[in-house]
Amino acid sequence: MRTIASWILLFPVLVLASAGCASKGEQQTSSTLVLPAARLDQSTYSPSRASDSVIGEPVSKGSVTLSTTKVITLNNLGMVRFDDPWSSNEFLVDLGTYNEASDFGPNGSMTLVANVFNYPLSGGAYPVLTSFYVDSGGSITEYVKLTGCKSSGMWTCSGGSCSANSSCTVGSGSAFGSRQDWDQHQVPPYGFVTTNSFPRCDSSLNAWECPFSGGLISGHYYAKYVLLSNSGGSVSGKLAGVEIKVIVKKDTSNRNTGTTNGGINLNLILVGDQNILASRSSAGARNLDLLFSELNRLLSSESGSKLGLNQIKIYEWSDANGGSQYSHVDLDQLGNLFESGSKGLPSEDSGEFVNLFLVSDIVNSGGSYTILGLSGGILGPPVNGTQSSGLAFSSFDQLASFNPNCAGRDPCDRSHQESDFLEMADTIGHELGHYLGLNHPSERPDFRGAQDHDVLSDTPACAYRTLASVNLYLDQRSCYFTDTQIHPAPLANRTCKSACDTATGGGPYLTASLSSQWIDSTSSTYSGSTGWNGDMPQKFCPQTPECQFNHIMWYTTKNRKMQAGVWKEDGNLISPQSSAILQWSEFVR
Amino acid sequence: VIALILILMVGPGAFAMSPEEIRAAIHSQVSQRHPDPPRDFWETLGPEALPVLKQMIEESVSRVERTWLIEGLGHFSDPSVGAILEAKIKDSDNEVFKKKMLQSLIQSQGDSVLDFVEPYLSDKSPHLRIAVAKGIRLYMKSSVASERLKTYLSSEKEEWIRNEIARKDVARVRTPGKVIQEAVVLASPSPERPLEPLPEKEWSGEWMGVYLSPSGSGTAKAILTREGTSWRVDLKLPKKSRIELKATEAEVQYFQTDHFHWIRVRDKSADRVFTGNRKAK
Repeated sequence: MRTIASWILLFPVLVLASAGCASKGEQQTSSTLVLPAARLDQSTYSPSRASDSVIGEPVSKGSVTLSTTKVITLNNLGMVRFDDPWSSNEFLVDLGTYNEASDFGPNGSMTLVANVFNYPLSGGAYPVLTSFYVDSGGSITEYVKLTGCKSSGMWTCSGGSCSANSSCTVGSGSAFGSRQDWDQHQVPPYGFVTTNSFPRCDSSLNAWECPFSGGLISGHYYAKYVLLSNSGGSVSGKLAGVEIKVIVKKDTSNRNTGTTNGGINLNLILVGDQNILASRSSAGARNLDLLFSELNRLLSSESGSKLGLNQIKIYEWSDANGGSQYSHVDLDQLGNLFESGSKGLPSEDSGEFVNLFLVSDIVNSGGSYTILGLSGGILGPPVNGTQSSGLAFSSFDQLASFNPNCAGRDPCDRSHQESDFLEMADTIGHELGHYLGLNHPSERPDFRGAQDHDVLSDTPACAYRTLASVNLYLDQRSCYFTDTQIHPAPLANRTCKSACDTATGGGPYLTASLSSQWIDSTSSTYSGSTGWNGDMPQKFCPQTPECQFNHIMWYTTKNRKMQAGVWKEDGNLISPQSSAILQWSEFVR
Repeated sequence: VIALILILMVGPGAFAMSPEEIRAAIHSQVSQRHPDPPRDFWETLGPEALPVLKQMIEESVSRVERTWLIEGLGHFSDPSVGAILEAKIKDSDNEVFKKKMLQSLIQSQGDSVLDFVEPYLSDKSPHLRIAVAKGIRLYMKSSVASERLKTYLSSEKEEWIRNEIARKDVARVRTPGKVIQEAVVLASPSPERPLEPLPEKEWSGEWMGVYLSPSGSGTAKAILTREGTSWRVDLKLPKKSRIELKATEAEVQYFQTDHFHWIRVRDKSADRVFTGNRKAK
């Protein structure tokens, strides 16, 4: 089992919003401003189906039913700030009684989506899940085990900024593998809606000390929450309400045993006239077909997860209907894009389709950086209308100009498609993985070199490399050269380098020079005229799972090189344990 | 008040990186799908990065990658950057790429390119208008530029565009998976324009920051004292431990971001670094 690198936050990390005046008598969500639903139109483009070999036949499991079993509304709840003890503000929620066979099945799950309303201040509050357990007739099974949080709070704050309180931890035997794992679901990147889903692990699969093996069991289910305000002022005596939606997925199939693991439905929302017009051109429509085809190939075959694409619906969010405000979306407006855009979708499709927003550009006005894609969360909510309800990816207004070598070719095979275009499909696959619950196997180290890894035993860790002690790089070269860890079972007890070299018959993936780490300026492929593009893999090993860069959730883009008219490239694997997590997702049917 | 957060990480390459190392540092950032690099990433690469960056732009076979690199040009004020970008802007018919190049041009060259960029304030693309207007607001200091921006804003019919231009730039970095670690408070209210550099004579005194060495790291305070043309540095570490660096041992570098003055102190005799900041007054 992988150990989690300790991460002690040395710098203040979160600024608290100043307390503001509440508007009396007006119901507010925790995001304060209630955004209107976008007006979306049906697209004139629709993906070709099996007859054109775009995404093949639907791959529905046929064993899944979904139901919202309860919507629990609680009013007048006390709140805590980030560094407050919870004391009496933790509250119990009765989720109801469920039967293992008739309500869940061996592959079923329960998802809790929580949202604060009537928040009395500016800013917002996160409904933080502090406990989840089942009473099976006197026997209690706890799925969330926290220690040290109730008495000392989740965070330590000073001067208006906060860092994680190291005495508040996730104990062993919890469905969350680490404090960070828990945090990700309680303090999402956009908005204040929290999404928690169980099971999150299976000790027969995931190796870390989970509370159980197999699926959810029969019994009476309970959860506890606290409302965590981001106010900088006192919240003593301030009250808010919470709505908790309980969504149960029943799946009678066994996990990872069939030739398919089901499929997912997608909404593609073309944001802005540039993307809409491109989709109406023959080249743009062809490229969208190719994009879905490639995404389907990644998920269904290359990744090994045997997931397919089922229904795809296409919508247009025109400039005239406000799309222009989001087609070049700033990072801090992304939550508004997800909320307003997903509200405009048919209500009956809420939770049935994952929402992909195709924008022209994702802007980071705080820095000069190009962003290929972002997910609304790690485990996005299976409901529309929240600040996390979707994922976005950038077209760079190239939808109609990608793949010029495909002109006159029908079908256009991968070898004639551009690397940038194939990377766009990789990015969607990656962000989709986040939305369905997958983490990066390794995170980039923080400024002190502390690094987090996911808790799955069949995804390899990848170490970073350094320069002058302060430069911390997580990349293909660091996985291949710097990481000398022998990856234990269920991986093959080899390092990435030894496994990759074996797979290529002894040929190196990268060649070494400059302390075996930096750009290989001595390689025959390097010259002043080819520069860093010369620092490319010599031989690829896409099926080697010991190399993290061969996983779809790998942190950076992929290496890809045209050799003898065929793209040679890094892999896009989804490990068996990662596939098992995807199977619990509400979206996978 | 909206919470303002920005990432803080010790940036790459503070000290005499080779061209290969600069390439590797840039490549490492460019290859990320959803990057959240240190805010001062380009600046800390130093002026040696500019020729490397130019070469990488010429060599790159990826339009997306090249665009990312061109954004980096905005952080270098060398006049050659202006010539490169003006030529590329004239050639480009892609709105996204043109927008990013205009942003870089204004950031790099400031008031000197006002005449070149002003026509884009009446472009049919709202995104080009926004980019240029924001650039003028942030990076041009002349009264002429202010007047032209004012004139444009009075004629802009779309309210959302006026709001977008007026909106403070907020660096928010809670990317999925990293939640809120590594972020620090951004000074508020935000200054409208970049800081003036802190004169060297004002580097003396206390700096709060982070100490990093192969054997450990932590928050620390550095006290700088001028000694001739060098600096003596007293590092106060956790648990009352301290390190005193003589003027001959300490290499001190200054840099600035939008809201903070920074120093970086390297112990030339050992592999350890202190990075600290002061909020702008």
